[in-house]
Amino acid sequence: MHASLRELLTRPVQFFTGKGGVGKSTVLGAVATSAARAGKRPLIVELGIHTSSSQLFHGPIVGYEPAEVAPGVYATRVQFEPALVDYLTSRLKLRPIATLFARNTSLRRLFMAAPGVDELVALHRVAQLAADERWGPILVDLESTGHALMFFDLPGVLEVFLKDGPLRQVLDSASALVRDEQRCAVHIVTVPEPLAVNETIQLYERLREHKDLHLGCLFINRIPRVWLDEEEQQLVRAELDAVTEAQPWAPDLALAEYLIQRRHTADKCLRGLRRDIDLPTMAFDAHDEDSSAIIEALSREIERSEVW
Amino acid sequence: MIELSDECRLAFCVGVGGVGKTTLAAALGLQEALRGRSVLVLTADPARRLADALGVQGLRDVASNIPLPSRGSGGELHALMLETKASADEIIRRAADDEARAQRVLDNRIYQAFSNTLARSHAYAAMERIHETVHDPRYDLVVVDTPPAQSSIEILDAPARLVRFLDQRVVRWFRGGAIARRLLRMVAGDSLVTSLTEFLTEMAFLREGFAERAREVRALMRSSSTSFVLVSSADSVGIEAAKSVAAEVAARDFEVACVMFNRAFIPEVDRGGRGPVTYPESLAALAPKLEQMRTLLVQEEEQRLSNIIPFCEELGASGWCLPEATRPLSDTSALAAWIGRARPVGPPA
Repeated sequence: MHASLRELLTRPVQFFTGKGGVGKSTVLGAVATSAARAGKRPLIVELGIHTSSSQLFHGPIVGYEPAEVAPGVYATRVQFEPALVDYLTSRLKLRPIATLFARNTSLRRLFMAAPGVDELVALHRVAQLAADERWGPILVDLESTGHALMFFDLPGVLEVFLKDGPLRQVLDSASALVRDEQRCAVHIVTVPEPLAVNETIQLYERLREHKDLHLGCLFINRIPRVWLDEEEQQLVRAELDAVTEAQPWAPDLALAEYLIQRRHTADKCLRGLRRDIDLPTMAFDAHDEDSSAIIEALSREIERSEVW
Repeated sequence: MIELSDECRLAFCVGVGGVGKTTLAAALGLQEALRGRSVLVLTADPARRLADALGVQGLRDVASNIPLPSRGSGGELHALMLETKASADEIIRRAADDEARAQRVLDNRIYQAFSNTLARSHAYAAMERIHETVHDPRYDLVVVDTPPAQSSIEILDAPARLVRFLDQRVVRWFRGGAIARRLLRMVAGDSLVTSLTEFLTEMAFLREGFAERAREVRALMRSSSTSFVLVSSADSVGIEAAKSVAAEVAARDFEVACVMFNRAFIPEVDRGGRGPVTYPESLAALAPKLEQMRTLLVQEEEQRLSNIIPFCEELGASGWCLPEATRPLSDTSALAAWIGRARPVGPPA
């Protein structure tokens, strides 16, 4: 039995993952916007090198400290160096010592070079934000499917040599958070295009192998517009058979056929997703406007489903 | 037609996830092979996309020869999918002078964790493979398809980071006693620091070769034999993301040679400058819709160009628009046809 869309979207920590370019940040921005309208205090957590939320909301550049990017919507970016100092401070208790320590040339070189350090401090930061009661829900934007798997696989990879000690605690508290069905959900975002659908189904299977992970919703973004009804499509096909290249309307028919094909492909993809992915699903139509208009449209759709 | 300079021996395709870097790396490599060069496309992305784009069953950590759609150019295309673990193990085996020594490293649990799919390990393995393949006389050109944004920058940074870390003094510091080392035990835990020290000692024989190769790759990346190809989607949000990748590239003193905007246009939208159309009787009912369709799509295309043109100007790089592909590109002929339809970015002729 599945949790409802409503329950899933109100969990305190939500991860959003999916192939790059499917509009994860936009969907996440829409969830944040509707949460803020319902009186919550959503915090968007970005892990990549660039901030999508500043651009999406036309807000200020998002840095390490949470900033308001739209009314009631906050965003933060997990940057390596301040996150490292935060982790060091949590162990050494005094921030000035932690800062000095992080500046030690030899250690710096170690921290910048050693595999896993960046992932560990990012995990620590996410757990730290999740523990901060000012925020809720926390919406984590995982950059790509590879990134997401890395994030959830990390405890398994590192626990081999992190048998004990403070870094083990970071792993353990992050794992406890991800395992907690009351607190956490992992959403998948996709678009109805063949490459994206294949990757999404693979991602879904991989995530399901993590028995302790709680999958949330499937968001299907950018469903292409239906330009022509069944009858009109037949007319286009019939005319295409008869047309010669010299006739001036030939390119229009070719374009119409292209758009029909695009929609057919999308329908096939939607059927595939429905067949292979058993999660509460929310679908959004494609919009061609500016990013804030898209977020507005998507957040209204979320509100219509009465999540909040 | 998109072309890399003949001088170019190494090309990096960079960009955020989902913009089609892998497909473009494959298409670019293919195009250069069709121009008569011997090309290796190296993907650092574990997804199967490169194999799919080239229409082959699968790719491994050793190069496979990819049949070209047309012969006669004398060129060759090879492809390789980097696996961190396999690559790392190979490096250790090659560098160690005896089997027992290699085995000790391979059995080390820190090594085993590090050679797993951590972003930085992956980047180091990529660096080694780049070094190896660029010096391989079989290839004139190596095209590197980097993983999404963060990790793609990771690959660019790897050589410099490694050179700095493998500096004699750092390793000596790590082995010697210091107050900072006691603090390190506090933040990382006793057992970790102990095993890390063991690991560094065990790996000492690798250090010089590793540092040397890292230096060489770094020098090569800064030379005119290396080109950076920025891949972007064509919508405004995608272009903003590409700008931040371009800034990261520039911050490292590398220069973006050209920007490829994927899915920038639908070829069918272009009706070759024909004026207003008088539709036949049979299409009369559909005519307004056909007009509306094209008008809207032309507008969208112009909207995209209004972001693309200033971005290229600002960057001082040449730009190319690539068409939306109706079907997934799944073999070299489709790939060649697709990249052949690229249009240069510029004011309308």
